[in-house]
Amino acid sequence: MGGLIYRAWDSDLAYAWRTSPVAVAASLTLALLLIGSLGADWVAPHNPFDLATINLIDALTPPVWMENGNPLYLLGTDSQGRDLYSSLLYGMRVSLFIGLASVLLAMLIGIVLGLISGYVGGRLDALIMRVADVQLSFPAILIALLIDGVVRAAVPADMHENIAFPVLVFAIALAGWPQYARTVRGSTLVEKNREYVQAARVTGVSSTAILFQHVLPNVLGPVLVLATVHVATAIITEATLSFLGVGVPPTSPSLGTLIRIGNDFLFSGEWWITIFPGVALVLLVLSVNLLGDWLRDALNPRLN
Amino acid sequence: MSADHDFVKVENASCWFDVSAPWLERVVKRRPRVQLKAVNGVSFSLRKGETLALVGESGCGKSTVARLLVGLYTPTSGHIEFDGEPISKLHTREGKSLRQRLQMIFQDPYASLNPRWRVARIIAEPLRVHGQMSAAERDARVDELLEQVGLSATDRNRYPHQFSGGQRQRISIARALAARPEFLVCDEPTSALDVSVQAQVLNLMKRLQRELGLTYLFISHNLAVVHHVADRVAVMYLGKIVELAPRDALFERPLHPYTRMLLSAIPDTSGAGKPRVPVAGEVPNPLNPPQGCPFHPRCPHARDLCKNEMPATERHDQTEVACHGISQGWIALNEEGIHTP
Amino acid sequence: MPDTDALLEVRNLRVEFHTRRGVLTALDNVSFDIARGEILGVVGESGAGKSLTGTAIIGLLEPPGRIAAGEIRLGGRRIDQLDEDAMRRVRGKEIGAIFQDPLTSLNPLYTVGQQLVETITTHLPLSNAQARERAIELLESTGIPAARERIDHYPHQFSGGMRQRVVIALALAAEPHLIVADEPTTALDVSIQAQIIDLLKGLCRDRGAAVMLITHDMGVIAETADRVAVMYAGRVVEIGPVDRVIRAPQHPYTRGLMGSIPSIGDKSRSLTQIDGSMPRLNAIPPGCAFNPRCPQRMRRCSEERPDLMPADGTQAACWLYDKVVP
Repeated sequence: MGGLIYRAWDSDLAYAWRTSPVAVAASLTLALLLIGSLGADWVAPHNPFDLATINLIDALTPPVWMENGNPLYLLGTDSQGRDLYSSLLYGMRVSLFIGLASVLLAMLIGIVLGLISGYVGGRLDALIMRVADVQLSFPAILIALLIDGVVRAAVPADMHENIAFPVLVFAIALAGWPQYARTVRGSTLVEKNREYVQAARVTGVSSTAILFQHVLPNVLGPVLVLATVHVATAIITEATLSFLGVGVPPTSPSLGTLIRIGNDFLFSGEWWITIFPGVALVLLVLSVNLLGDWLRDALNPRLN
Repeated sequence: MSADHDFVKVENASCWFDVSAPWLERVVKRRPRVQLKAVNGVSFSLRKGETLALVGESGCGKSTVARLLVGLYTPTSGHIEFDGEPISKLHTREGKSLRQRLQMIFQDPYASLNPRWRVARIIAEPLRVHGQMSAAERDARVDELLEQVGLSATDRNRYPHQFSGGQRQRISIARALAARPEFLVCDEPTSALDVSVQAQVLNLMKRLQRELGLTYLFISHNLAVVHHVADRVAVMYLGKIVELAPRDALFERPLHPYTRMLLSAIPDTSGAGKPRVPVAGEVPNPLNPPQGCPFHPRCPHARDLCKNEMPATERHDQTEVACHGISQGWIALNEEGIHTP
Repeated sequence: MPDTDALLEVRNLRVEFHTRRGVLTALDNVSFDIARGEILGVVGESGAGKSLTGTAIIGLLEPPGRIAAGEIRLGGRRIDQLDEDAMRRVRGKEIGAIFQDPLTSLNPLYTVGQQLVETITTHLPLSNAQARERAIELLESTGIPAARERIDHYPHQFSGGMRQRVVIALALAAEPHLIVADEPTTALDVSIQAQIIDLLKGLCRDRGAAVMLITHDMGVIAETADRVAVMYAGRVVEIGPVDRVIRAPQHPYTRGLMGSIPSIGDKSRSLTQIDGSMPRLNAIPPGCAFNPRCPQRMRRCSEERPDLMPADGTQAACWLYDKVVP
């Protein structure tokens, strides 16, 4: 086990990571944010959803370093008296959850369709790619809005809250799968003509087995890089939707919701209610993006 | 000698590829359909235990023939049989048992092994597909195969990129032999290897053939290698076999002008100052082959008949050759070849 | 002042690659000469360093590779330490280069004529019109039919063999004294190979240009070269006249190499096999690099590294020939 860790540490990728200040900084930031948000139940000093702990008197408290600040509420409170720091952590958890789930779903759809498209070719390939092309000409937000709108219209209002999460995840995933499909299809077209695939065909391996056991592991490389950056995009998309009021339900606010709520107070002086969620969002997205960029460059010479 | 019937039989096989422009473009620009006649009426057969070499330059169709024989391509016309069974059976449910009896070794040692799989899994794959072996039996067989090709059982857990080109070809050979096939199609198996490594792999292949009674179809562009391994040799040009003869007959008494040209063009380490047949022109575009005999633009003996009519294959002694000049007699049968004693 | 009339002198050339895992010595103490008008073959298997030698001589070595020691002299003048501008003038005017893949040697966006004229006018004091005439002559001399029309064609309009002829014309355009040809025929069909080899040999003899012919194909060397240097693991292990090295090789590696080449001349001979493989750059054994695979290994071979010394008819880096008088 120790040998494995040593070899991983000594590998080219780990070396590239160690020697890149950007990569290390982004990874550390991301790690902190992840620990904070995923472990919100333990890290957060308050539970902003527990109505019993919320004190209206403490509403609109400024951050601790300002005048009137309260060390109990590090980053201040919002108009309901909820601790901003805790709300941030829980909100980031929601944002992350939506981001990761939608990316995973988009990957699943995109990879499978891309594999089939590339391997089978012909009319099926043309059909799938045309659908992807059409979708790509719409901005992701628009697609997500569309799906969200349709679902809201189709489903009675009291069900909205229950299905909000799955619908959101599904909408963002649907907006994002074409990229994976195209990348995987391109790689599949290359791999399917390679001799190791031909060897498997000569041996009599079934097409499904060839696709998922032979081709898939070899086309995943660029997909992972795409996914990393896509997480950032997904989080922003969700934040935008929540900001517009059609995202997550207000009972489990994400960073986007927090920004929206705080927006009303921006110019009346309680700037912290919107700024801190905004900063958190920027930090999260930036660190994921930077890590994704670095990963793409670091993997490149090896891919050759 | 072995059984009377031919082990592998190819009768007038053709493989044409449609390389036409997309439908819309064809309609708008009034372009005709274009076919690439990669293989155009090829016939030969193999007896059990022999090595037939298929020789030619790029674009002659030898790789396509190789793939036709293992079912990677379907013939556009003609008939291919393996031990009496039609090759088309490979694509059916019953074809699995047929598949187990033939295998292929590829040219590129770097692309013929899945880079993400360990060696043991690569070699065991045919066993999973064909055999009903338990995992332990499979492991034992993998170790046996590794030793047989000159690697060691400890290599089983490594990845392909940890091996050199020659070692990877050995792994390919081990995989090909796993399910105990009888017929191996070898598509330029040593062309990508250094000379000394090539020697190792060729020696290995010859030894395995003796030990396991294998039949080889050996594709190559290297006549010296072919001379070393083949019992009989077929020379291909633009999708057709122009000459087919036992090895010694081909090298000592080549009949077809293309064969003669090819033999004299080889830079040979043993012969400096040998007589040279003038080498002319280049291989024409296979999409637009010449009329009549495909070789006539480059042939020093070409006449009008050659430009108009495709020559039929005729037999002279042990050689089958398709050439008007030879059949009609205006080309001497024993023009100086490369090794007249 | 040159003390010999050798055109190219390579002395104790050492090329190193600095990687994060240490320094790899890719060429170690390589020395040879090429006389004016001579064709020297440099032969070896993959990883032996023959291409690298050519690259170092042309001055196209890229970091992390660098010339760590030794000298390269062209016509008596040192060229291994020139700056990029000076080297660019040497390249083309005094050294011409032919690489393996004609597709990448020619710029696909310019016509053949444009590329030829550019090379000619860069190095020779000719006007554009004169340069164009010269270019047409060059194309004709390389056997390209209808040169006057084809000079305005783009590289993709030529077939593989024709492209290589254009590359040869380009290399000879500025009348260099030395041509470095790195696997010029490997990517071509056998019948075209013969044409190109003949062409190269003929043209260079006519113009008195020396050739450094780098290849793994001993057959090509046999037909073309005057002398040949055999490389192994970054070192020259044998060097001598072509027919001596081929017919009576002295170094055990050369013997193994010659024995492993299938030849149409002898039938049913089993191919000689050298067990093992060429060591990787980070695992070169001490002493003679070939010693672990050598059938005639002595104790001394794993301790001391032999330099080239006179052997029967050639020079071989092998302790078997220590104190042998030629």
